[in-house]
Amino acid sequence: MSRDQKLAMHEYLDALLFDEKTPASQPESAPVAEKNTAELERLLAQATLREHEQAEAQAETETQARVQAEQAAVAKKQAEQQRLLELERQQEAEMAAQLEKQAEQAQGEALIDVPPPPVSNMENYKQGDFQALFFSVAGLKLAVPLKSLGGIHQWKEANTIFGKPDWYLGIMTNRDEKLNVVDTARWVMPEKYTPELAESINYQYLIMLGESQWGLACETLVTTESLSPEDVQWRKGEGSKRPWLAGVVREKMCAILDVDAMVDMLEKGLNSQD
Amino acid sequence: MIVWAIANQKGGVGKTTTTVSLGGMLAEKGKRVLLIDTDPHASLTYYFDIDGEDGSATLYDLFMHGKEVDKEQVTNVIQPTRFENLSVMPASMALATLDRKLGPQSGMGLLLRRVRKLLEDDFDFILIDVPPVLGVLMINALAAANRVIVPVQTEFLALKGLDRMMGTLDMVQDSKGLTHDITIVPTMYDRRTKASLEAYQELRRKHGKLVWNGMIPIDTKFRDASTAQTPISMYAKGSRGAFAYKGLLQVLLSQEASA
Repeated sequence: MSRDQKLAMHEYLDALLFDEKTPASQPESAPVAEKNTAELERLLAQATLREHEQAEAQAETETQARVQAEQAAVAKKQAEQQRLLELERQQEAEMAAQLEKQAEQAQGEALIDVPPPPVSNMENYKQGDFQALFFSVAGLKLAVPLKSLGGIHQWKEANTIFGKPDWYLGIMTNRDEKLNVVDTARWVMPEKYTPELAESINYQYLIMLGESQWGLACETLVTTESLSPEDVQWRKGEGSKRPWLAGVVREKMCAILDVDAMVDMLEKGLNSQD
Repeated sequence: MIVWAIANQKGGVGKTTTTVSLGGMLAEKGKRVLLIDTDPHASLTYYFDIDGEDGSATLYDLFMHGKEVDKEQVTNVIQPTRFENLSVMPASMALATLDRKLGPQSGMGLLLRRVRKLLEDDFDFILIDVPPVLGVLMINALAAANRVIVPVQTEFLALKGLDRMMGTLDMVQDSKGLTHDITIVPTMYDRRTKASLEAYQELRRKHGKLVWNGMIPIDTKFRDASTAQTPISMYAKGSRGAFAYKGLLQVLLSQEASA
């Protein structure tokens, strides 16, 4: 493992295992504190006054040492955070300067220049192995890369809103979030969406798309699986008929979603065929 | 309370079988045992015919409650099995989204350690089935456990996975000073093949005393026991598999007693 990889791992572990509790204020330490107090009281009852004083003095010294150690740890952490903040600011400033320079160079050409299309997340998936969640709707199996999955919610009836496209089932409230619910079967295969099919569908979950508030209704969570880029028949190029379809998982003949493109279409009120 | 994490960064090496087999035997000995399924594949959960996707609370919900999770929320997730003294904290597929959802969020690696503390008086043993991926779930298991049991398939490719797992344990120790007792358990040993014997010898040569001085054989009774959703010691007491796990448990318990 390279030095950079080691450093990244250490930072990851430091964050995950950072114990911020302070003995007096955290409920977590309460049972332990109670046990310790009871034990101390028992010992005190048996001890002479002198021993009591010694114990107290020792306990105080230990407490002071502990507090000092904790303060030092917090100060170290703060200094590190400050250093990272500085570094981030410096990088931002450098990036801003660079962008300014590029803008200056591009002046004059800007009016005829079209900004390049943003690189879709899907491009990243073509670079290496990735995990995907497979789910099914009305017999159709779909897959979404886990990194583009915003979450999974249990199904709750959505509040219908009038004047929206027919594939828009309404708003589902989850805690304080308002989630837009897509009738996946109707969106993906409107041509097959008959009243009989609609009747047979039993949505159970809402699959959230990336960071957006859009969620796809789904009937069954099938599995999660690791895929390599070669496992997928990727769709090629810009302007394809179905931008939301990133490709097909070969062995399973199952569509894999381009989440960014799909969110973009949903935002515009388009359906899968538009 | 004793907490064992059953972990390896390679899949399909017998983690769930080891968890269920050891847990079943401890329960038979009258120990109060909790099996925690931290693997989004939820094999352990399904082993006991529990459906992590039926809407009842799972480990995922505890992570959503965050660091301040309380005892009621924890006990709400625990489900009894049809076997006395044996309970399960089920997994759900949504656990697979945790790393993305939480990221390296401060202190989120200590949630299971808090669960352990809250359940201190309720169980004698907690066995954690760990997913084969280094992430927030594995770190939680390692932070909560005092011993890591590493099942390793006796074949050469599996030895590579073991190197990665040992590297992770070293790193966790270097980074946060978390030390574990480690027991490497050779599994799926096929005495008819030379490859199994060679892999076993290589294991012993490389990891010495960390390797348990026995092996879990290939035994079709494991499959039959899982179909019957019953730990092997209760399903086929006299089988080679049950006998091997009994030997392993004896060694583990004597090591715990002297720890």
